[in-house]
Amino acid sequence: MKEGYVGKRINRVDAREKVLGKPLYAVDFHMEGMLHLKVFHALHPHALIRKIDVSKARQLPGVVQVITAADVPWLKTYGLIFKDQEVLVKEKSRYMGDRLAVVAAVDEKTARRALKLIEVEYEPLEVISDPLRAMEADAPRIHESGQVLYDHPYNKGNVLAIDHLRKGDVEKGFAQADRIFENVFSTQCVDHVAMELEAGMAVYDPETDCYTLWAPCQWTHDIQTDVARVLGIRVEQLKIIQPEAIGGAFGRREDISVHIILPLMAKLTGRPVKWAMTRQESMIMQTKRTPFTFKLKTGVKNDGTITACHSEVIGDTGAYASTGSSIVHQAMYFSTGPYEVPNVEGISYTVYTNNTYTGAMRGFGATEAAFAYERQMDCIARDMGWDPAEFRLKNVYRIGCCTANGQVLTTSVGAVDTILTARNHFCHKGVPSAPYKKRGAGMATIMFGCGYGEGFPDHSIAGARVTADGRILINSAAADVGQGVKTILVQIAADILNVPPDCVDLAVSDTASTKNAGSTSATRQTIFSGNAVKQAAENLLGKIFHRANLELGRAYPELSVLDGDIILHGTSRQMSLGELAQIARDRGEPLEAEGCYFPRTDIDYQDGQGNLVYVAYTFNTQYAEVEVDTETGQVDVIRIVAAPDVGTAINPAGVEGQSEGGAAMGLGMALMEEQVFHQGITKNADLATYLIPTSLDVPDVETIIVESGDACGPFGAKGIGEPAMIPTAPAILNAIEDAVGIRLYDLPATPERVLAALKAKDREAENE
Amino acid sequence: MTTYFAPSTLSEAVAYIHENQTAKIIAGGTDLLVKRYEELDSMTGFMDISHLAELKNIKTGEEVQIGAMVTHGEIAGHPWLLQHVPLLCQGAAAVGGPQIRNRGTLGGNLANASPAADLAPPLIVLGAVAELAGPQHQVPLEEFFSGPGKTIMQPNQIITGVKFTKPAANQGWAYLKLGKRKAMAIATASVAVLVAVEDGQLTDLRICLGSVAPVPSRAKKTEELLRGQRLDSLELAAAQAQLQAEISPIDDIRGSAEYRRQAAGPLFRRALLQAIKNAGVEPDA
Amino acid sequence: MPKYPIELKINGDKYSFEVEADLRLVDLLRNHLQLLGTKEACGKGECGACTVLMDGKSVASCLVLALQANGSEIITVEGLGGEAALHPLQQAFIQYGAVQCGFCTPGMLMSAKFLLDNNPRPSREEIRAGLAGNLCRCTGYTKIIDAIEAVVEGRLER
Repeated sequence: MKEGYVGKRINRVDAREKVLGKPLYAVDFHMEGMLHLKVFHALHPHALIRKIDVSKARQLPGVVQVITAADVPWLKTYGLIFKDQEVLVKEKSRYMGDRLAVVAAVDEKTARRALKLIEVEYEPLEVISDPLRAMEADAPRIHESGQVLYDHPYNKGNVLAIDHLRKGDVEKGFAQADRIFENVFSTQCVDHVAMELEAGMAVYDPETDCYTLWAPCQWTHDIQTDVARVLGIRVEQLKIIQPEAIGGAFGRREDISVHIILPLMAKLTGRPVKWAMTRQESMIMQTKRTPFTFKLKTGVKNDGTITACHSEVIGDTGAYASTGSSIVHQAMYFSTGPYEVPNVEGISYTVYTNNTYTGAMRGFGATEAAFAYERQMDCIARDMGWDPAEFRLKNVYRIGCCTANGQVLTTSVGAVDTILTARNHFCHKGVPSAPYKKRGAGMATIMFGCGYGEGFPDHSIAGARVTADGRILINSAAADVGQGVKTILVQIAADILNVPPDCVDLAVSDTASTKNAGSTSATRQTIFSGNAVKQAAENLLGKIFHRANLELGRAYPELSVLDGDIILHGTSRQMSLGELAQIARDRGEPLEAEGCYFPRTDIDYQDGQGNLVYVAYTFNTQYAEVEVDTETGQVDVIRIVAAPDVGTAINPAGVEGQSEGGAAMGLGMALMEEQVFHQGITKNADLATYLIPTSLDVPDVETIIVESGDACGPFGAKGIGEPAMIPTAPAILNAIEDAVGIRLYDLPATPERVLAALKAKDREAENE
Repeated sequence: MTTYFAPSTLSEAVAYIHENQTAKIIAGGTDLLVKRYEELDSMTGFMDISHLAELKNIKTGEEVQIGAMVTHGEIAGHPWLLQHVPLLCQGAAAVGGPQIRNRGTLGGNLANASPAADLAPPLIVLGAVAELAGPQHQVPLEEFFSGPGKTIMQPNQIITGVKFTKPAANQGWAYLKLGKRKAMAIATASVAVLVAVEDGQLTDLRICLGSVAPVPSRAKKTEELLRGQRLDSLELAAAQAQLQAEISPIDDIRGSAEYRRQAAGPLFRRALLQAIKNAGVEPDA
Repeated sequence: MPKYPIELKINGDKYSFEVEADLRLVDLLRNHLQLLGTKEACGKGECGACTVLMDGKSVASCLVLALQANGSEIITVEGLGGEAALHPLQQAFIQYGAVQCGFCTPGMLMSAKFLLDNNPRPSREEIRAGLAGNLCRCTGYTKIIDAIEAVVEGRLER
């Protein structure tokens, strides 16, 4: 291994503070005299609002302010891509999380009591919970003016977007096939369940007409821009300070939650305001994983070559767009998986319903697509008598292959290695623990495009400087939501500048003193902010050498930087970085530098084809072993083996952490998690009824890191956050099929579904 | 206006609740305080009996008596109970996670009257009697529950404990629980079985199920069918079918009625066989 | 709202307060004492983020009325080990990568302490069971269990 700090298992830079319980999360903020906010939500998921009466709430002692849409008619609408969401709804509620009024009171209890005094008259409309109903021409329109991308015959108020993918000639491809496989798969609505709930605090300064907001964001600068637009202020009037710790995100904190209402109420009340959601409020109001239906048709030759693939994808974005249309088309783009298919056609529909709106969640369409294509691959392998791994090896991407988006893969394609590595490590399945239980093994191989890609101006800017005391200060807005990017950035800077990681600090992240680092999403921070910091550190190192050369009068080859000192070779002379920084500052050329990573990608949305659609692809293969109780339908996951290709592991412990946590989240999606809506109403909005895996449900996850190297990230790295979870659900369902021969097409595989499938299989056997 | 009163004796508690019948009796709080956001603001007062020393005893011997304020954790780890009434320990160990078991009490578990209460099926098959104060009363636990969240207790009554006879040496037991995950799950279905075995014959048995009816319920017809059967010719399939026929599960977020009915059968069969095994006999099936 | 006096010991120090009946222990710790290491993530005893030790037993502090803690001794994550002398569990969580977002960490540590106080040599399965009341969404639990196992087996680097 190379000397230095990249590739080492250094401890996380924030772990010490966190085990002491010291970092302040958003909910921990407090200011003298601050008010507490509570929000009044819709009483019906789809209704015309006739009257909102807040007069009694306003009279409750301790209530300082109650507002409705009528009080703030100047607010603009918001949303990540389409601005279709009102801060406070005026005429119509579109889901149960819509806000009708905001209360500010001296304490939370008073605010909660005030909510009970608000009276609303409304006229219920048909609730649309099913996207197929939403697409029908006679379905009521959820949004009066749908922001339709293409002309189409469906309900224009409810079909938000239609996207296409065309590569080769799919009809010709199917004609070449010996066998055609058609299946329909569905994935469910899932909650992120980040442990930290949405919360924040804001103040308004009338002297400067400026706002300060403390609230977690996956992308501070984007939220800053949207909030400023909604409030009708200049971007610089709003400073967002990222809390020093964020309790998980998983895509949820890309969308706006508390970020508009807090500064708004700070100005209207003239006092600091705080808003902390309960779990129930968060689950009903904030984004979810988009539920999907995939119709897949695959043509295969008798020798196992895939000739064509057609996919029809419907995604339920819920009441608002958020990033829905991008999630849905990404799911469609990825529906061939990491397999060479010469002829591909796909169409996707993003549809509004009255369910809670959906948005980014770990995988962003790729997770859902992988469930469909990896179940499809397994079904094909089984039906054609192939070993599942061999069938995948026959078709999986290698260098020179062309993706469904038309991108020729030229570097860092470790897909084959991930399959071989995981298979070798997994070895074979064990023996059932009871006569009525059966064991099965399943695998899944996936790919994920890192970064936004598709021509989006995706970039990250970082700064690095030497401080007066000779330490290195990194300035980056990259959000560490728990995944560990802070540690990665410190490692990279330490490695380039040859200083111990504990001599590298990260500046507080706020929108005033940092530049855009892009979002902590799309598995992009290791590549984007990693590259930006690497470049900043290299530029800084250049300045250090230049200044040392001038001050010490020695040529570059005779200089080196080690552990915070400038060393002059062949002499006992050296100078500390702190001294050099002091001199440099006196000379008016401080030791500071900036780096930016701004690669170009492209796509033509007419057919989904491009030359460089994503900057890099992460591959991951997982094997799962399950034990199925044939009488109760319960599934125990016995083992998970993961072999992710991350290019280069900057911190192997961090990669393992993502892999283990991702597998656990995938296990929850596979077996137990589902946000249930009945007529638009969430039936399980707490952690007693919405179940995520406990320590007894998740087996030890064994991760063997594959390093194909040579990716575009720093030191050849790629990202791991999202691809860590993507193979898990299909691997588990494939293992269930291996164990008991039932073919499940829908998530989650609850005991109830498994048992029903087992009974159906028994009945079939009896009839034959 | 929320008031708080912590009596220092049972008689003080009885007197207080007689005067303040709207006060919520709180023990471990693991059920009551869950309702914080929905109901806590409207609760008028608490009577906290979690400190009542009189209700914290476990009396061992031929007649076992357990005070209402004994926690699940105390039951699950009690050396004498582990040796002589492990069935009850297993029920207690199935409640929530460690934090819930450290606070939740036997009295609270019963008074809360969830159809899924983990202590109810084991205690019912043990033939436990609930002891009430206020108007003093003793009632077989089987008759204690009157519906989901409802008991036969008057508003001025307090459950003070349960008592039951120590199982005999020829008795065997089992408690099995089916949940949607392996811990911190409210039962989709649960079953307790207590059997007595003599000379290769099932001389007596009691079966109680949770979560498959409005209250924890005995499966008496199934008991009848099996009572007296020889272990080498147990009519397991018929018993399983009988049990599935006599329960009345409902649909809820944890499972459909149909699933509960299907899964309760094998769950019961396994509990029965495990109970027979625990009675010191190796069953054939 | 009537207020009632309570006295209790928190992380070794004695305190007395006047509190309302519906104040929970988690609110007392966080809002009255600014012991912000104890987190709340569900308010229903389902997640374990608010776990503290009360008279040596792990409890969900969102399900305990402050008045019920009268006379008791409470240990929070702030009382587990100091800056100068980290508790071995804290050291292990750092060294074994058991911390990601950190929101579940204080509760995990307190549950782990309760487990080891009562069973100094738990098996890996017993460690799993000991953490069953604490949800973590980041780590998949593997490295948390590794860390506790390292403490049990005395494998910590100094």
